[in-house]
Amino acid sequence: MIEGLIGGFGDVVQPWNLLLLFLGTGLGLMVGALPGLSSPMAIVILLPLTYTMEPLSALLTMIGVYVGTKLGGSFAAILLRTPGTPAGACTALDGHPMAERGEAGLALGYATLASTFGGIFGWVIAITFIPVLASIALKSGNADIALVGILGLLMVSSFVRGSMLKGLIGVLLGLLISTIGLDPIDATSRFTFNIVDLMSGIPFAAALTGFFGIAVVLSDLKLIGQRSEKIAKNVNLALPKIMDVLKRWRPAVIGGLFGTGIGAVPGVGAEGATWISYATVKRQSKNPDNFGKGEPDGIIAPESTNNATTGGTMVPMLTLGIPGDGSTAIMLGALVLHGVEPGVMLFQANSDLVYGILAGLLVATVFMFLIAWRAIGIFIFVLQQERSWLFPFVLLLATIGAFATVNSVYAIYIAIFFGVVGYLLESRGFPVVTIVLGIILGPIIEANLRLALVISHNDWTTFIDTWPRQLIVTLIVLFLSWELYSGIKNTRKGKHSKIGISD
Amino acid sequence: MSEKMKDITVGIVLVAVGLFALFYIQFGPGEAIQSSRDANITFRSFPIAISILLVVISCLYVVSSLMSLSSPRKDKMGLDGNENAKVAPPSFLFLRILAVVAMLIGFALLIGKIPFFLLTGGFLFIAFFIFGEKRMGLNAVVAVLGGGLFHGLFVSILNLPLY
Repeated sequence: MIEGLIGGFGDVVQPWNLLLLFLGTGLGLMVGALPGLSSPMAIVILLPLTYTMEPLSALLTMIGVYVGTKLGGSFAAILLRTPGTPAGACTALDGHPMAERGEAGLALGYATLASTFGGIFGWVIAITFIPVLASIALKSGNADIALVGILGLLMVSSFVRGSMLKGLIGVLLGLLISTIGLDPIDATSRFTFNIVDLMSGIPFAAALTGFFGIAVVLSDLKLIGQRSEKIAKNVNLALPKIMDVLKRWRPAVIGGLFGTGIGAVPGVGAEGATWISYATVKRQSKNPDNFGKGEPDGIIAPESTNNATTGGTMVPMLTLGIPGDGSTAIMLGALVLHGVEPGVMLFQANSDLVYGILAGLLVATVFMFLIAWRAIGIFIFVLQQERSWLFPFVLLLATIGAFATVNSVYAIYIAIFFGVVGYLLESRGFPVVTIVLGIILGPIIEANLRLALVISHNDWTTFIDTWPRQLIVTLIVLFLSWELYSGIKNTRKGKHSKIGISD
Repeated sequence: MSEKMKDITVGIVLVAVGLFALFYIQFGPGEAIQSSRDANITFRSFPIAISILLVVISCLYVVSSLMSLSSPRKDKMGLDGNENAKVAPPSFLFLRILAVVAMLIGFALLIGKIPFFLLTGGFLFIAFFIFGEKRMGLNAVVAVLGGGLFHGLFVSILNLPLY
């Protein structure tokens, strides 16, 4: 592992890769700071710019954006009480009151330090567990891969924000969409309606730009004209004193643990994890009444959690090929576009790439701290700008990005179609990230299911003939039963989960 | 249309999608190779299973939504699932959405037919106007600069066949 990691750092510190990581992190901070823009959207519109890059360079750019948005969301939360990302909402509870009493710089300082700590904490956990899990995953057969894929989709739909039934429907829609095109084994066209373009299937990146680019802009059109006012002028980030930081180690560590642990569970994402860690730290605090009134621990816990999830989400993504959230789903798609197959073989076949990604994660965290510490004024300026100037560029980048996937106008129409469908479904509470995950994992699940049956000569008991498979099947049945029961019950009562994956 | 009726409508549409997919894949064109037929799992198997599940789950959703008609709605689901967003968009917002979609379709129709610089500049200019920016002079300047930037990046540097 050590040699691999050293090699990874060696790749990352190449000047071009370092520059991309730096620019990506800066872009991520900016995107995260702006309410209405999200990490998946920023990563999606970067896709066309990364087509000509090496896989590692492309992934490093996206990781920089991914890490940067985690802290960027807290800037708006502290200064404007409007979080730039859903996961930053928790930070607003104590960050904004601190800013209102003239300590905006200090609040930003606590957030930056806690985010950096959480990012490093999550990274340490990731590099410890990923090689171990990867070696376990390597022993899996086709049946195991198919079952893990199904379990992953069920977990995502279970923990997704909104109704579980809607999450399940989203996953099924994604799986159905993934069957469009030529069947990989029989080479028979499915759902192509004699349209030649459809025979190659739905261009994955075009669907992504539709769901995460066009649909988000359509949803955010209501924000046009809502200009936020800055509450303090000339805000500079003020790092807290060392002794003050050291005595607040407990909320930082609790945040790191929750972030990494929950981040590794596909579907929950940072948003849910921040609220859970905030509630835990408040409950254990000697001064719980101070929370919500500008208590620094109320900033440290969620921010540490937020960035620790970056390490957590890497665990299922790099070992099993199951994304932890929307951003890692797009990164998996980027791997496919660059000819790298994600899944259980990724670590064995491309270990240098995996270690490069892990090294990039740590370097991006360091860049995040440095950029936020020294250039906070730029992000405050960006926060004041009208979205009406930004959205046209986002739309154009998304559209050109879709075109660039197959160099065909057909991909633009696909992106527009999924943009409209995504907007309509999101407006009814269907989380589109489940559809995206269904599209990504559908071909993997189907191919491995069919191969497992061919190898076992059509013996379905192959899916339960080892104890790990029996365990996974049991979990699948339990998750499915729980989802159906909870989903029906909550839909009847009009209840929806407020935590879960959002970006 | 009330929010609950919209939920029911979406559910019915999803059931229809599932049924269409099921019948199309079951009775539509195509033939499996011999080894697939021997294994009893062909190109139709996976889509059939997914379609059936989609129909069943969507029916459950429709039934649950119908049953919730009698209970008061406890949340306000906004346009993006955000409970704090407005429930009903104003009509100009709907027109704005239509205009954006039309603009994107127009962009797709014209790509390759007019110079890319003009296309992106025109797209940006119209988009700024649709998004509420009424300062035409400034819109034009930013549109020209933006068009140049996109042309330089995607045509000159990345060599995409967009012209």
